[in-house]
Amino acid sequence: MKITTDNLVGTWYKGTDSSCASYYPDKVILGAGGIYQAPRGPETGSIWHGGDWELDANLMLVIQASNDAMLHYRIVAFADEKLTLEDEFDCRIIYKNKP
Amino acid sequence: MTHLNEIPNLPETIEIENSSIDTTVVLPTPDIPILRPPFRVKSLKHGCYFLQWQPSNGSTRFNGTMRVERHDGGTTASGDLYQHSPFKVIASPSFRFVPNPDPSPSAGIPIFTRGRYRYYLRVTDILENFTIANSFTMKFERHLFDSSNNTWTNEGVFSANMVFKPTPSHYPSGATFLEGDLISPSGTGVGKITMGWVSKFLRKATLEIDRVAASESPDDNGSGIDWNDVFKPLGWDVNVIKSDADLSEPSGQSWSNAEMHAAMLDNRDSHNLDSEWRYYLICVRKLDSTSRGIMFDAFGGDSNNIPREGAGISSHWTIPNADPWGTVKGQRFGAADAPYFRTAVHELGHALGLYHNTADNGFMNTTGTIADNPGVFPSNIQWSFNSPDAKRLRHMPDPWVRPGMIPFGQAYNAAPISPTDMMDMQGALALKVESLLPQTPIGAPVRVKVILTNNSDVALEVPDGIALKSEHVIGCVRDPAGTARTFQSVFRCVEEHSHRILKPGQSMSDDLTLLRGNDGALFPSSGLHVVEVDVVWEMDSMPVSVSAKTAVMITPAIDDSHAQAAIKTLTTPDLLLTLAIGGDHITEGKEALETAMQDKILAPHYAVTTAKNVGRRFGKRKADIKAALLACSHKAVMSTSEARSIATIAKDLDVETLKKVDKQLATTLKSAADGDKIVADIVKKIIG
Repeated sequence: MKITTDNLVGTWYKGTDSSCASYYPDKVILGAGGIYQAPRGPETGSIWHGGDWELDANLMLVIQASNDAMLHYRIVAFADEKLTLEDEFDCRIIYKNKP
Repeated sequence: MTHLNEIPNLPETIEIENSSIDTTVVLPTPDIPILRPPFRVKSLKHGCYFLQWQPSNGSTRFNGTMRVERHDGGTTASGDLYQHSPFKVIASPSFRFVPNPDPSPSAGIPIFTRGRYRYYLRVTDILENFTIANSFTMKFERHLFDSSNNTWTNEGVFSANMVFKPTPSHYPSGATFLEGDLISPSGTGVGKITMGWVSKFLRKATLEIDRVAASESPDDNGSGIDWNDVFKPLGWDVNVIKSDADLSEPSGQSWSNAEMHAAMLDNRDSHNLDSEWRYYLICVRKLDSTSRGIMFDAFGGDSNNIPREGAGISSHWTIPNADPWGTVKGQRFGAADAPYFRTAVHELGHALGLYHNTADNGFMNTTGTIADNPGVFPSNIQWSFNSPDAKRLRHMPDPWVRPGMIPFGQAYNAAPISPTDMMDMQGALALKVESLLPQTPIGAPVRVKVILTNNSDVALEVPDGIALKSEHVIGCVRDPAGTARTFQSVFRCVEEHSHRILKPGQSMSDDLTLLRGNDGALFPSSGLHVVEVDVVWEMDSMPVSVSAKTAVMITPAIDDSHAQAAIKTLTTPDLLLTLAIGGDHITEGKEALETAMQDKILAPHYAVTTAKNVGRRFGKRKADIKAALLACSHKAVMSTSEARSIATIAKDLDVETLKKVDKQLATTLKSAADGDKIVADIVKKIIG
């Protein structure tokens, strides 16, 4: 699927249980207006709580972290209803568009 | 003699400024004399108290603070205790030890050394309003802090009959002072506790603001709200110091987190976090890692491993000249007083341990979200912290909020916090906890049934489930020595909590299978244990809780085989996951389960878990329903919920096959879930 902002908009459910991915929330909602939510992020100590997001010119997902840093994620794969991200520490996090 | 028509009307509320007032009560009948001496009405002053606990075993005392917040709903209180060091080291004129006195109450809110922190006191009972007695009962859960992993252990409920005493010297004028004997959860006296009022504030801190010359200092929102207006309603006494106004830019106008951290270390006026809660805000033109602001002293940005000391904001980010940026679109950020000041408060909020909160447009929501929300930005900014965040700032443990202790990013629910006044639903709603068995062998899970009944005349909103997976259920197990081990759901629910209506007289029940909790095995020893269960939810946005407990006897190992199997089940953390979700991939849990099944004492207690694992498909392995039913056909121990699960697995078998199943299973299922339709149907087919 083509990586576009419109195609990323929606609700994503974490589909990986690797230890590095435990810092990411179970559910993230990427809104159409560049705002995202991660319900229960603060209760579960995740790195995403809610804030700004965008797809930058290099097709990297840029997302506001819990301390307001804008973190960049490489989109490794985006197909078959799965979104695979990779952070700066090479941690891969898979999100699916179904629970 | 005063007559009825001369008695003044009492006010709606009584404002008590002092800890006691003299009130002469006149009864409305001329025949009854005026009572002497006058009654005294006592209350607790709002504010911070110097707290001291002197253990009865003669060991060193503990000093700390108790925060008493008086609000519309009553009183919320919380406390922290630090172990007092009888000596301190001074270096000048020579290096030596000198006696370390207690803090002076006249100096206000005391600050203690971080490394001496020991306990959080989660106050569950305190004087809510007034009393005409000279004492009241205070109760608190004492949570022991483990600094090696930043966790707390609930040691149980301590209580003290706190007596109002004459205030000793060195306390501020009008201070309240109380003293009581502290009683442990096991009923033993463990020393004396005192608390004396020292300040109308709950906490105090210093904020130092440094900036580069080109950046503005965020002093207020441009409409009269400044730092004092932000923090005074929270009960925080924040001293704002505008210090360096000409910082050098290390590498151009944009700063990295590391550069801001280095500037903080080089330029801040002082940094003894053991004598002051000092936060640092640096104002620069631009930030490398974000647009508006960042709490850089977190994660990889905390280069000295002393977290949450500082934050930075940028003055030269340009607000996009487009919607939804309202009346400030296109402006330079530092010139837009309202959002600039808001961002400064927001970043300080992170340094205080707060996370983003999108419940309203308060300080911990993000700027972009507020701009996107209804209303015209920035006039739609809410100039306060929202209620849960305000409560966190007042009542979360010291290590969470003060700089230099717990790192940013830990889950909120990892730390205890005092309850706000919870609606006491005991009476209207009754919770009962019953153990399935009168005794359970060591190494086996303990099964309890939880029953919630609406005893009132009205329909009440309750959680839609009270199993552990519902997340409304928490609890603890107290062993024969009184040690408390807590438990809660292993699941992290991704959906919103839902409720159901319980009609008058109606009950709901569910089963808990208890094996491990936050602190490991819940029943690691034999003897009489007490299982305490709390069901917590919100009704009309008010927190509600009901509690109950039951006793459980754990019997010791009867032979070597049982002992070995019990060791395996008690020391394999993944066995809990196998119990909860099953699956062949949890290899250590599966191995522990197999060990338990090989022991004749433990096998009946793990038979259902085995049956559920085998009876469900996993990956390429097909479900083996016959093997599942065989596993639990020999007097398996099972709860009602488990019987229902087994019946659900069995319903895929044809009638002929079911008739061949051991009839003992039918007896076990019927005994566990008599009246359940799914179970009754399977029982009927097995019996034939």
